[in-house]
Amino acid sequence: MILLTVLIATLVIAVCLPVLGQRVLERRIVFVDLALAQVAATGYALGMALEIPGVYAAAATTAIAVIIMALMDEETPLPKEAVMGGVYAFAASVGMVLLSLLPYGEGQLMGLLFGSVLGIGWDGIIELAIFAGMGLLLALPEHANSFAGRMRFYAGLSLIIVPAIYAIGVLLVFAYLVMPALSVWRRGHNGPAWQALTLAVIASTAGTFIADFLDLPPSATVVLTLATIAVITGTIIHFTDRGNNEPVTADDETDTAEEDDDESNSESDTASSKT
Amino acid sequence: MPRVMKIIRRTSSLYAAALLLVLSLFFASHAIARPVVVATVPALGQIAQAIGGVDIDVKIITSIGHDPNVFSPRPGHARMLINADLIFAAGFGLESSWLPSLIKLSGNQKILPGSDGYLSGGDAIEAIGVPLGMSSHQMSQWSPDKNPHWWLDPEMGIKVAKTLSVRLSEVDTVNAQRYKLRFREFEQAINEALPRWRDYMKIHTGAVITYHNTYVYFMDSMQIELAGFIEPRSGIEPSTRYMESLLTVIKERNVKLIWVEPYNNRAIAKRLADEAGIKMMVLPDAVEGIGTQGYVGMFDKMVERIARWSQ
Repeated sequence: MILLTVLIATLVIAVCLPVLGQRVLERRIVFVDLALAQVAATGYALGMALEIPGVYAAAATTAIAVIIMALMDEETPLPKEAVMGGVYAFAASVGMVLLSLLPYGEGQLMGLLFGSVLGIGWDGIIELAIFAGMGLLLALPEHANSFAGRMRFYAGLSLIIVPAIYAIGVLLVFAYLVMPALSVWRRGHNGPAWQALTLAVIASTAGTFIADFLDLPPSATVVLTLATIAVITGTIIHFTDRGNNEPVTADDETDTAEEDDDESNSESDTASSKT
Repeated sequence: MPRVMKIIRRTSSLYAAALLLVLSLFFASHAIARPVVVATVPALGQIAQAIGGVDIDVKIITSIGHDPNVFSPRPGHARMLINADLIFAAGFGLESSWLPSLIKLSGNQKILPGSDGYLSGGDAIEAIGVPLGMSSHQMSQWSPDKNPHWWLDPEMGIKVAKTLSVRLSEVDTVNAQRYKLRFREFEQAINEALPRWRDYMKIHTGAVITYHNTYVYFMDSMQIELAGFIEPRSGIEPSTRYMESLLTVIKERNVKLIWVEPYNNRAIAKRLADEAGIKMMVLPDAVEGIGTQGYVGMFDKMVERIARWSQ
C-alpha cells in the first residue's frame, strides 16, 4: 500500500516538525533547514570526490556546520537569517563546483537532496521516526545560551531535518517546519503548540487523500492543503485575537517560549532559567 | 639621413617577410588541421569517432552519467565550440535548454542551428511517438515532447551515422572516401551484433517498467515490451493512485524488472519494486570507450546487465 506509507510518512513529519518549527521561528533562523540540508548534500558530494563513504562525509560536514552555527550567540547583533542564507548559498555553490568535476555524481546528489514521499517504505518511516525522536529529545528541552546549549539545539535540529529532507524532500520539510508555526503565531510570539500540531495532522491526512482522489502529485498537494488550512486558521486567529493587547502568556504559549515575551528582564531571567 | 631611411626600409621589408612567413604558416596549418566535431552526449561522440577516425578531432560536452536535459555548461564548453567545424547533437529538444545559448556565446557562425555545421538527429530520422502496448490511461500521461534518445536504437545510430558521414565529406572533401569506408565498417559491426542482442533479450526479459521514456528506442529495437513509466511526465511526481495502478500492471503483465536511468530518483523506483516484490536496476545510457568499440560496447553492457538482472 503506497498510499498508506505516504500517509504515515506525512503524519510523522506533521507530528515532529511544527513544534520544532516554533523553536526555529522564535529564533528567526528559518533558513537553517535549507542550510543544513545543503551542507549535508555537499558533504556527500565531497565524500564521493575523496572516495570515502558519502554518508560519513555528510555527517562530518554537517557537524562542522553545526559547530559554526553554535558559535553564534543567540543574542548576536548579526542578522541570523542572513548567516543561514549565506551558509546555504556557499554550500550549494561548493556542491555545484564539486558536481561539475564528478562525472557520475549528479544523479546521486539530486537523489540525496530531493527525496520523495513516494520513495519511502516502512523501514524508511521507522528510521525517520527514530532520527526525529532523537532530534526532538535534543532540540526541544530549553537550552542555555552557551556553546554547549546551542550545540545541543543545532545537533538535534540537524538530526531531524537532514534525514527528513533525504527521505521525503525539501518541499514537505520546509512547509511543515514553517507553515503551522506561522499560522498560530500571534502578537509577535508563538501560539499554542497543540494548534500547530492539530492543523498539521489534518493537512497531512486531508492532503494525502485529496492527492490520491484527484490523481495529483502527493508532496505538492499536501503542501497546498497545509497552506490553505494554515491561512484559514491564521485569519481566524488574527480576527478573534484582534482586541487582545495582553502579552502572550504561559497559558497561550508553549512554556519554553515563555521567557521571550518579557523582553525587559529577559537577559538576567534567561541566564538563570536556562541551565 | 638617407642612411637611416635605408635601415628603416630594410627592417620594414624584413618585418614584412616575417609576417608573410607567419601568415603562410598559419594558413598552411589551418589547411591541414583536422575538422573539429563537437558532440553533445558521450554516445554521439563515439559515433563521430567511429566515422571520423583519425581524420577528425572529437570533443564531447557532457560526461557519462550527466542528465543532458539539465546540463549546466561552463565557460570551457563555450571555448570548446569556438573552433568547431561541426556540432553533432541528439536534437528533438534534448539540449534545447543549454545548447543554443552556448553556440551563441561561442560566436562561431559556422555551427549555428540550420547551417551546414549543425547536425542533429532530426536531420536523419523521425522521432518516435507513443510506443505500442500502452493503455489509454498511460497514453494520456505520455509526454508530448518527441523522444530524443534515438542513439539507444543501434539501427537509428546507423541512419544518423550515415548522414554524419555525408556531412563530414562536405566539410572535409579530401577524406570523403575514408568517411564512407568507416561508415560501412560501423554499419557492419552493428549489424553483426544486432541478432545476438535481440536473441538475448528475447530469452531474458518480459514486459518492463522504466522510470522515464529514455529507453523506448532501445526497447523498440530489441523488441522488449513496455509496461509503463514511473514518472510519465518528466519532473512531475506521480500520484499515489498512479503508483497503485502500476502495481496492478506489474501483477497483470508479470513485470519482473524496473529500469532506472543513472541520473534519476532511485528511491521511488526502489519503493515500487519492493512493494511489488520485483527487482530494480540502473541501466547506462553511455559507457566508456572510443568509437565503434565504445558504442557497440554500450549495447553489450546493457544487454548483459538486463540478462543478469532478469535471472
